[in-house]
Amino acid sequence: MNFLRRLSYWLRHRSIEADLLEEIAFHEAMKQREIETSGVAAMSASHMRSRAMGNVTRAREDARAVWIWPWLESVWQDLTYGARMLRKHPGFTLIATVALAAAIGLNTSLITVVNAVIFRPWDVADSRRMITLESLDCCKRAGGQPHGFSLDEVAYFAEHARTIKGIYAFRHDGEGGTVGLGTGEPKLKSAWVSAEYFRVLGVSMHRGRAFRADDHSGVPNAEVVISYGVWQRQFAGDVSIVGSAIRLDGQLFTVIGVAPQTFTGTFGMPVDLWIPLSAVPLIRPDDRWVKNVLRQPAACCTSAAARLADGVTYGEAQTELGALSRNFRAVSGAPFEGVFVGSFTPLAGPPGSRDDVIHLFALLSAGAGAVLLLACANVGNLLLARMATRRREIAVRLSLGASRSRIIRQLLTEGLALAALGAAGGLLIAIWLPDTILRIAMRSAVMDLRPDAAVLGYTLALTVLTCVIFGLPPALHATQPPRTAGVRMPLRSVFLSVQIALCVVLLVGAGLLLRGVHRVTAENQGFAVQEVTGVSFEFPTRALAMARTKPFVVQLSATLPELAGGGPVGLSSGVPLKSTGKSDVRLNSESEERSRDILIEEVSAGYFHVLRIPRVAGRGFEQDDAGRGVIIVNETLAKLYGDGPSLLGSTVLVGGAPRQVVGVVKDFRASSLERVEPTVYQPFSGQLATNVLVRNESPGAAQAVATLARRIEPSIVVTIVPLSDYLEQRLGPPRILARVSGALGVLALVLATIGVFGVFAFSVQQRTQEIGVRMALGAPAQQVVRLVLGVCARSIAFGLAVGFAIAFAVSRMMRAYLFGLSPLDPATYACVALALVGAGMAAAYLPAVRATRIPPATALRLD
Amino acid sequence: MGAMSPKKAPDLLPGTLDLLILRALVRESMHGYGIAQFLRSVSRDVLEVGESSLYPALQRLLLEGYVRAEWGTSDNNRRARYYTLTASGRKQLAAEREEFERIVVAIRLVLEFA
Repeated sequence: MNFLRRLSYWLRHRSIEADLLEEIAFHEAMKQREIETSGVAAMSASHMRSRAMGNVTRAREDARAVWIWPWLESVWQDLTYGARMLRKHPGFTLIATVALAAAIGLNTSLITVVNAVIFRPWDVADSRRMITLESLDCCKRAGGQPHGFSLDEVAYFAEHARTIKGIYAFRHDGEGGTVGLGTGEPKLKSAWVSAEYFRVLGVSMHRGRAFRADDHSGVPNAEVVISYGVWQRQFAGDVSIVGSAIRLDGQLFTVIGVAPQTFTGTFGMPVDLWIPLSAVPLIRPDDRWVKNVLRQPAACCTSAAARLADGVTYGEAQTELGALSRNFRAVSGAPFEGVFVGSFTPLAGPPGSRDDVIHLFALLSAGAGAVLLLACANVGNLLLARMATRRREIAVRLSLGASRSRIIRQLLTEGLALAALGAAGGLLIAIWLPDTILRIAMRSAVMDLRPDAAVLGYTLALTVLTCVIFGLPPALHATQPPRTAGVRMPLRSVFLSVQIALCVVLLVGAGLLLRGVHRVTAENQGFAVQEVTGVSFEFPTRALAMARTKPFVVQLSATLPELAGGGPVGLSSGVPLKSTGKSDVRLNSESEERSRDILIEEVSAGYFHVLRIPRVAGRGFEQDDAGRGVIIVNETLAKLYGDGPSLLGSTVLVGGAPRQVVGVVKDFRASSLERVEPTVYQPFSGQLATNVLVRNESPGAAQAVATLARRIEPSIVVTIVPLSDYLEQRLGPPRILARVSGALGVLALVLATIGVFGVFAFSVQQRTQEIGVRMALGAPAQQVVRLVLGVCARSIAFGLAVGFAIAFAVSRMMRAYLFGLSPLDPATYACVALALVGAGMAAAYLPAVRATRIPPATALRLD
Repeated sequence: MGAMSPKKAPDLLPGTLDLLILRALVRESMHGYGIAQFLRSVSRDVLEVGESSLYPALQRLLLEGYVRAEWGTSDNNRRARYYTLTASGRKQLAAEREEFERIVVAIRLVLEFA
């Protein structure tokens, strides 16, 4: 109450002081009137008044001081006192600071990453005012993924929308595809963007200029902006690059600008160069899709982003753009279901579309939060032990007249000093950790990961919170009337149980994730991942590919069998763990609405042999199947349409064309690590893409294939990658999650061990006398140890039980990262239990030994 | 609360001024000047309380929540700040009074020791 009144004084101190001033003036006036009426001259009355009543200014100052001074003074006292206590116990201070710093550092790091990824992922001017636009209608069959707009529609927005002050269009995901410089080196990642791109983003060039506004003449603008990285790597930082011409896929483009070093695009992955959408037909001359996207008013699938006009909210922009879109589509004929305005980040999107990433962050946040709670419980327990030794001091102060709230405040201030130390350490960790994680995770730091004001504020709040969580209960407890002093302390058991339970949860989570990832690498994916290498071919230019693909494929497939010397060789349109081509598939008897998007793979007869996929029913492909309209399906697809073999021989429409099912192969996880996707295999034609799969046991086979291909087609670009490399790439993110959670688990275990050790050690210290007496009376060492350890046994057991129960419930949420491992995996639970027992024994050993070595005589003399 | 700074009337026992103010407010609300007048007249001009001790004491009582202050109009139609005893103020008055009696008795015992 007192505190609240003081607080309200701080908030209203102006009006309170005015009140004070006025009432003292009133007092003076009254006094003067009284003296005047008593008949003394006014002059000397004023003089008398001063003498009789004391100095007015001092009255005011003193009255004000009642509110402010004692408070400031006592806070300062508490702080210095707290600092002195911390200095006096360096061991305690060190352990507590490290525990808090680790926990606060972890949480701050996580929020730094979230902050960077969600709120300012790219180095553009004032990214909070940027928005992404998604159309909610298009491509409904693809699972409701929103796709975008036509260029005409974006131009319509630019012309009519008042809630935005700049909009640009870009190819969805930014991946305009790769282009070659014609130097035989890996192709560069290009982004296709409208001319307004750099201007709307507020990115100014490192050198040269950005694109000029599109004149909509339809005449392609053969201009390109290259990234700083490409400028350095490919052109050795040559300053004359601006204005010179380079060949992209054989076409001449003028380099007009070099992007700043910190800017690598606004897409999920960094890009190497930016090409105006109007110039795309130059490098994709025969691509009907490109023509469609550029010209058709009703085309879908170009994404857009815009900058909000001043003072406009997301909601206002969404309403206006939605209305405009409805108008536009009423004319263009494209289906309309609304426009979604999201924040400018790779994670933005309509509800549901980015659940997996949010899920991942939620899991990590929960883990980090648990570690923070654990650290608080740990420090709280240490503080409790300290309080017990300070009982006498506190009792003396209470009996000298200090109020309970005053002492609690002092203890809390001490805690705050400790939390501040921890926060300082935590911030140091947070400056270094997120960057390191992302460097390992993405092999490039594209993001700005310095903690900003928001993160600092978060850390500050976290500090105060931890201070209250670990400081308040011990303080309340220590200042209680000493009716139960020295006896069992339930609070200590609560802290201990909390620590154990959280530790169990974190360890189980980490164990499951690690085992899940391990399982993928070790366990069979259903095919020979470790034994096969993929050789991929790419023509340097689109035009060359159109002209030469057919003869190349024919010659290659004719020569391959003799080359491998009888060993199995497979041709396919995609490489397992890498391919993603899909097409709509339905039964002959089904209506068009019922078609599903199914994975399509073109494979040769040898494909299944190389990968060692057994046949379940029917036959495999034969040499001359190519024109026959036959397909093979996997078991999952067969099950999708009834029970397995019944599909054999029936006709299925693939992309509208009738195909006869001649075989069923065993399931294997070719596209996803988590599950088997239904897949249709067509005879290899080479029209989609060409890859050769060879087995590793014939050394030099991959090289021989590459040599052969170059002999057929000298300009071909060859990439040789073992399938296990693709597996490694796929495993990247889950492995990071597993490692981070593993680190969390180890940290939790260490903290909990320290916590248990502290409690045991304290209990021995507190009962030294009792133990001494027992030993003197002949109690065996065993009994003494049991006495010491028995104190905490119940709370540890309770913590274990609760922890396992929570882990049980929580682990179900991690299913997506377990790759089929059961969330109740017994091995994990057994390992966690073992680790905890081991840690518990380690924590108990020293105190137990110390207890049995207490010389009875010393014990009796104590105190 | 360990507020010790502001000075009290030098000729009063420590804490007595607070007690006297609380007592003054038992019957009715008063402004600061009225309290000073009341104390002087009731004590037959012995207790002369100046602003420099009266107003800090009043602020202290406000802070502790023993009194409440409101602006009102004085007898001669001027704006004045009236102090009213709160429930916890009444309780505090009773406690302090008892303590005071005890001390007075104790002092008398010492002084009258023959």
